[in-house]
Amino acid sequence: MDTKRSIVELIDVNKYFIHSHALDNLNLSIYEGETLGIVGHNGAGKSTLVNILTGTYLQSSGTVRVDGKTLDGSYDVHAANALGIRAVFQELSLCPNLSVVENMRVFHPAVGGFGWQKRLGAMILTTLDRIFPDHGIRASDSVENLSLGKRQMVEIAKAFSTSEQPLKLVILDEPTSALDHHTSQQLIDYINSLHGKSMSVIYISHLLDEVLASTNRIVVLRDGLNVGVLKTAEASRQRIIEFMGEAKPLKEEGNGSHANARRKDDRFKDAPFVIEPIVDGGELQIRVHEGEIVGLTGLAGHGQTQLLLSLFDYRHSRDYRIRGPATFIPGDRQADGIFPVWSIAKNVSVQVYARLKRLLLIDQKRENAIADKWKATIDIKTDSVKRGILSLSGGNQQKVLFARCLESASPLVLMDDPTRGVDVGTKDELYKLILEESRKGRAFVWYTTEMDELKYCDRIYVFKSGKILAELAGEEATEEDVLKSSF
Amino acid sequence: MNPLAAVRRGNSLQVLLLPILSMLVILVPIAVLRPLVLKYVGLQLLLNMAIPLSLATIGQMFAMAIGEIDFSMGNLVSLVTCIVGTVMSRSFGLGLALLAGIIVVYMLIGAFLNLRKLSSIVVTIGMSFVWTGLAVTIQPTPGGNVPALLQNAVSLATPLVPFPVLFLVVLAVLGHLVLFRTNFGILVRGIGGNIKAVSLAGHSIAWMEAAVFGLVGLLGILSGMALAGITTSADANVATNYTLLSVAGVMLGGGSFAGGKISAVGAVLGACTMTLVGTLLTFLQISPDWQIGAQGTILLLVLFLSGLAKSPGKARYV
Repeated sequence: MDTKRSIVELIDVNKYFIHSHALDNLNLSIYEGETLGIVGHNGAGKSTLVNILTGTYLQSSGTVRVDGKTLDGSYDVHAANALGIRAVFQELSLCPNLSVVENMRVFHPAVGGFGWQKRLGAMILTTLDRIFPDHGIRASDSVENLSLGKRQMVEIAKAFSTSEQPLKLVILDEPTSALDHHTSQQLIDYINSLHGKSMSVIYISHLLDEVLASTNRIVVLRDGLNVGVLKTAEASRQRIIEFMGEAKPLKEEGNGSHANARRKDDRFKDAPFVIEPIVDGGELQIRVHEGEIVGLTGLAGHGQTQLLLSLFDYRHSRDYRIRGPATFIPGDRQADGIFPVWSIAKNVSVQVYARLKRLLLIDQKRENAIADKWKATIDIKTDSVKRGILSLSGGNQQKVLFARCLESASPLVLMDDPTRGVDVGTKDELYKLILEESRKGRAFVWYTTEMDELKYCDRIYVFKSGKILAELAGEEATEEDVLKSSF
Repeated sequence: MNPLAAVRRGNSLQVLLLPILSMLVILVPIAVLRPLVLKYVGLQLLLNMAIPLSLATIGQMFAMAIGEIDFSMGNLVSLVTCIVGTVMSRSFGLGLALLAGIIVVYMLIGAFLNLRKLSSIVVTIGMSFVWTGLAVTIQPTPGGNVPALLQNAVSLATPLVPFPVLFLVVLAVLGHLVLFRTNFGILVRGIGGNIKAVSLAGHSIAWMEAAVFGLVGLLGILSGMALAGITTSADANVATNYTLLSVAGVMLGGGSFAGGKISAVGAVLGACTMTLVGTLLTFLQISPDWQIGAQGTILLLVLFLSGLAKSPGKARYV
């Protein structure tokens, strides 16, 4: 094992984004001919790592070596391609309006001249036959007419087919998300047949069984750190999960005095429902009482936001009886939250304009008074609320969104990862605000991607594939429980 | 067979059903009203004006294939008639230099659209004023002296099949080959379908957009030359409705604003239909004052129909 040559080496690699530290002194080697599994929770740094290897991002500091050569600032997508590094990304990268063979042409422009369709068609079909026998795809099929699973098969085969330079490293990022059980197994068998050959594979997946079945080694990332490397032969689900999150209770003794005093049963048993399932029994459904903070967790994109959006449309909910109106705090404030050309005051008061009307016009004095009140209570850092919203930092913009929603009289506040990209100090202030408001009887449904935030929740629902898998009581849940239920 | 269902299935021949049907809807009444149009000379007269319009439409098609649009097409075509009819007859070299300059400007526009993330609608509407301003400066009132070479070129007497028909067929086939058989065409359609995939595969989008817009400019110039040859005059406002007609032609031919969905044969058929609409309205003795409105109504109808033919959009995945 030790005699193996490293194809790619990462030495003390750091990557910073504006609000986060995505990779933290990461050290990692990928050996020739091995399949390396990478696992970790959302935001552990997996995607950042892939983007650095494929030349989409440049690392903030540290060294990346490919075949012993150190990569410099000029490393980009083309260079990665020339070195034989390929990736299959989570979002598909095919042109839907082109045929399979035309997509190959986009990818291999060097294969030209007379009869290119025949040659490229043969290339993709040979690879498809090798990985997915009986795939049933023709080279002339238009991609948009293929099912999602078949598109994914084409995408994978595209990455494994070569024209000129030999492939060195293929990175598969959640390759089986659109594949059914049968084709997933075919892919795993194919990867296993590659072991010991000159090509290396990085296999990233949330499905631990697949990682265990297809890899030689497994790297566990947490918060951008390499927290452990396991030989697959010696690994198990249990051990991986232990590495991914420590078995500490979410609510530690002495941490969060506010929360510890709460006892789920005696506090909320008699409180009236804000969200109540219409039909009881069957699948697990959420229920929310007055004054309760309910957390939604699980892997990102497994239906949490979808649920929030359907709750927001409270009048038409088919599954729940909801006491509305609901108000919504989005996580992507640039896209869904702020009105960028408006002042802070207008951004705060936009939900309550009906209350500010005098005759038909809006009373600007009252509008400013509301904004000034919130400026004082949650310390929005500005000298005047008449300034443009963009004069505020990201964290303060998020405070404005909280102020907007909390100014309304809605009994139900829905939050879609509301502290995304907010600094630690501001986060603590927002947490305090949420707890205060819940004491006044407002109910919160809080989708969060951060384990730490779950400690503020009275109840936690874990999502997977659009369904609720588990309901955990806030004070009993541990990070390990949450991870166990989400994988 | 239900033509809408056929379009939905996306087979290349079936995609042409809608453009063929809409052309027949216009052509059949014309043939009934004036049976002579189906003879050699009749077809020549009927489809003469389709030559410049189909060139402009194919140009517009390339712009729309990459998800952009050229709202200055009609103004450009008018300007070219002025350059060919006035400047070229005095100084051939200067005329040629001006035409080359137009292509360079178009390529720069294409590159800037990508590099500066500009909207082609705004930029080309701005350019439309530049083109018309230039044209009015060159030729304030209609007139000029179009070279005999151009006049002869568009009125060739070809054996058996009238020249316009021959020209349209050749243009459609050439356009189809470029779009579906060349590397360039595949990348053009790829950009329209998924620009990120094309750029991830290592192609320069700025260069591609510059090349596509250079081609749009070139086709606009060819359109202007053909139009000058047919009308034998230079006129700064002769083709202002080509902007609307070329967009309508592309959509009538099964293309879409969304980009990527494109057919050269359909675009040529669409250009013919838009030409024939004018003729039919004249034969029906509808005054020219109403014709532009009638053309607009037909365009709306087409948009409505092609909207019906599209499959419903996918829900956003959250």
